[in-house]
Amino acid sequence: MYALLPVSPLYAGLALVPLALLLFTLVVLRWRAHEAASVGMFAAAAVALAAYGLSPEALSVASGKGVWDAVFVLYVIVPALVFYHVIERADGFEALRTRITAFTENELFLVLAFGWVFVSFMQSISGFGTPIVVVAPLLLALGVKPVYSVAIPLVGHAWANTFGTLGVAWLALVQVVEMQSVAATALALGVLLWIPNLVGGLSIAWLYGRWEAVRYAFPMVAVVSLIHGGGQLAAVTVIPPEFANFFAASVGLLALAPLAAWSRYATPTDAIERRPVMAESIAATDADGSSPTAVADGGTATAADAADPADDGLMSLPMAALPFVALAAAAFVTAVVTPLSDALGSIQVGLSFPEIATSFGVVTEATAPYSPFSPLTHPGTFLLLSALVAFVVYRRKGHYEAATARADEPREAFSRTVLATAIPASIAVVSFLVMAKVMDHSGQVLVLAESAANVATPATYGFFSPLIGSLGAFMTSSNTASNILFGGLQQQTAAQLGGLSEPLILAGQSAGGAIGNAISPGNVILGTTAAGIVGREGDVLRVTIPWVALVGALVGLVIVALNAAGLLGVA
Amino acid sequence: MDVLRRYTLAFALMALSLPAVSYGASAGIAAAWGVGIAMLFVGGLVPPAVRFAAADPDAI
Repeated sequence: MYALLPVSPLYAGLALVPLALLLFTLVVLRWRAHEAASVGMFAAAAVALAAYGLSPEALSVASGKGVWDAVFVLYVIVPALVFYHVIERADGFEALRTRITAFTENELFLVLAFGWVFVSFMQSISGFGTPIVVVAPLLLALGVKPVYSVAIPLVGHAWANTFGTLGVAWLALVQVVEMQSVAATALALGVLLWIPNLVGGLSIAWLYGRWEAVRYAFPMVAVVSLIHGGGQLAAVTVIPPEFANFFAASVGLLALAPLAAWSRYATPTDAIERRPVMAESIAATDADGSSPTAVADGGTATAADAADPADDGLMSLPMAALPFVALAAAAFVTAVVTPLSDALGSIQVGLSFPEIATSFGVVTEATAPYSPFSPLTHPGTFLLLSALVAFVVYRRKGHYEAATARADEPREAFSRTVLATAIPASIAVVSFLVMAKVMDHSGQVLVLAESAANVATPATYGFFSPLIGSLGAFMTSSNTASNILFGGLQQQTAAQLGGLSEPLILAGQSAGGAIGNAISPGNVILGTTAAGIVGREGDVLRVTIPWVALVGALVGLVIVALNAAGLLGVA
Repeated sequence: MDVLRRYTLAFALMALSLPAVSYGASAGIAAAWGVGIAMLFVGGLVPPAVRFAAADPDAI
């Protein structure tokens, strides 16, 4: 593809420098995301200029595109913060926690219900990190520690990425590669995505209370995973794949009602002694004997089984759920009513950028406009619309006055509260995406992907396929963008190596992209923003990186095994 | 200047780099894209600088 591309250990090592520095500062030094992202951005720029033959003008173009890409994420972050605080200032999350625990006070059931089942449903109809933004505060309200309230939905929603958002990432893959068999690739994806679904459910249970919790939650996880993974796998064979995740996630959500009524999950259990994800566990083990509802690692949370605050005046469950219902309805209607989405999507804005090339012949064509932005079909608009609906209704019903009367101390100004979280998160997102675009346009990402392909053999390439997909998702914070970036490369490499099933390799790419969403900086920052722990991204990644490594390896091994067995079509 | 103001300034510089780079690179005006990339990188330097220079970087 690129004859001059310097695919060698030296150049691959140089391309790894920005990523290594980013992870080192984030995870080891525990810098906050906006500080670490700057380091990554400058490292990517330095490598691009010094080693990859990118001119300063080309660097400015790549950087400008990165800033533009950030607009898509920032228009979720700020509306999500507005959405969150509109609900929070009316004590909406407190009401949700109180009302929902009236159905069942089984914490593990509730953590799985929100952190795995509901977040998957949200992912099936929306995207761009919206599910994380919505579910993290809900878990926080249930008493989950802030870091875990972000990590759990990241793990729980990953499987739903490719066919979620009504199949955007899948459609992108179909668009960028000419598949031997669309049906076989969809089927292979259905098989592979079942793995992160099942492991996701089990992992959340393990995080909650280690192996005791896994044993306790296993029947629920098995039933839901059969519906999620099995349902999606069955659906891709009988309905258009872009609706498969919505079908499976909706049925999974409906299954919560009978599961909650089952005596095993209808009441709290004493079968699980250690509950490391719950806030009150910190206090229980703290040497200083701090209060049971204090949250040692930032944010605010109230333990589900701590003493209930007075709930007189709290809104009803339907009222508390109103913003979420409005959000889901707006996302669903605009996704399925094609004339409406076409009309709203016709309003676009974008900037133009010229063609650039590196001295190694990596050419990026001119675009005018580059990646046009459609504000009216973007989740940010749905969040703002839902927040407006909630604000009007809550104000008319007097919930803000009641919440203010209940508050112990006066609240900070709304705009200051939003900006104090939004600005650092925005700097981080811009820096991450500039870094990603510079690495992409300078050829660093291609060198990394081709290096991984070069060290593989036909027998082992299947193992690397999801790794490359995950790298793409990490770089771009998007399964869709990962598929666009690496779909063609994976197909070409599989054909060159020979003896590989194209459907399996393409499925590995997209499944890897889905799994990689659990560590994508954009999603992590959205979560920490929503949970009020901006700066704790490294702590979230310490939970999700091992999970992605484990599930990516499992998916890779399954691809190798299926390929060796000659299943799902050998090219 | 408090930490939030410094971060806000940094973000404003990063955001304003976009039109300068797009216009400058598309029209071939080196001064414009040069100013744009300088604004982006100056904005990017602020968070690490605040980390090491501010008395309390967490006081947003």
